[in-house]
Amino acid sequence: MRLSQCEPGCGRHGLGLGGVAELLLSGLYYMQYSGAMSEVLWRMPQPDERPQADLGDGLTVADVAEALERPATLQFQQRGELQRAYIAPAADGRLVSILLFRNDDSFVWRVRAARLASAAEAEIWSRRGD
Amino acid sequence: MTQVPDFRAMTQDELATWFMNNDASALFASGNRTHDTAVQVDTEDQPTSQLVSLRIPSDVVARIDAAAGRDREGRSGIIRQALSEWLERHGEAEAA
Repeated sequence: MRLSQCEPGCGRHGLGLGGVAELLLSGLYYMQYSGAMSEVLWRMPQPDERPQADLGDGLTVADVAEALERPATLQFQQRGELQRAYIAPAADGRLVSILLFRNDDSFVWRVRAARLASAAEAEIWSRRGD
Repeated sequence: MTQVPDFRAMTQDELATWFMNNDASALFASGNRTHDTAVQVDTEDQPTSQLVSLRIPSDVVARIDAAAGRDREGRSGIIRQALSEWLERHGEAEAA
């Protein structure tokens, strides 16, 4: 299991005392709990999976992947309990808004919707460093 | 004034429909901001690619960038393609 797959406070992996000590010593627990930068696993829904992702404004899966994998400094990221939303540029510079969900029983986020960012969202993105 | 929906009361389908048809500034203003790195995984939850760092002479990087231009995959795409072609010609045959 990758630590980065855990949500803060996740207790489902039954870390023993040794495991907890190892995490604390490594400093990784602090990174995770404090909300510092960590890895988020994502994928597109499989062809037989429902719901499929809604891609608007002519966006492709490649556009979405490029926007999601931009450096965090180029992204505006928002996170709720089971949903994440991103504003980030695709490779051609178009600003994309993306919505992802995950299920209670999974660490992996699935793309649910993506479209070009609105003017107001572009404004939010431009102030991401404030 | 537009009313802000209660996102937590919405199903995933309802939220996705709302997201596709509305300015989602209110959603972006809710919840917590994060600065995470997104890693694409396959159906087995394994990363589909790995980040590799390597040193390439600056003039070669400049030529790659010039060749990339507005290519969708950019510099990384050209390097990936070059490595795939090299492996096709050499590596995979030798490994087999």
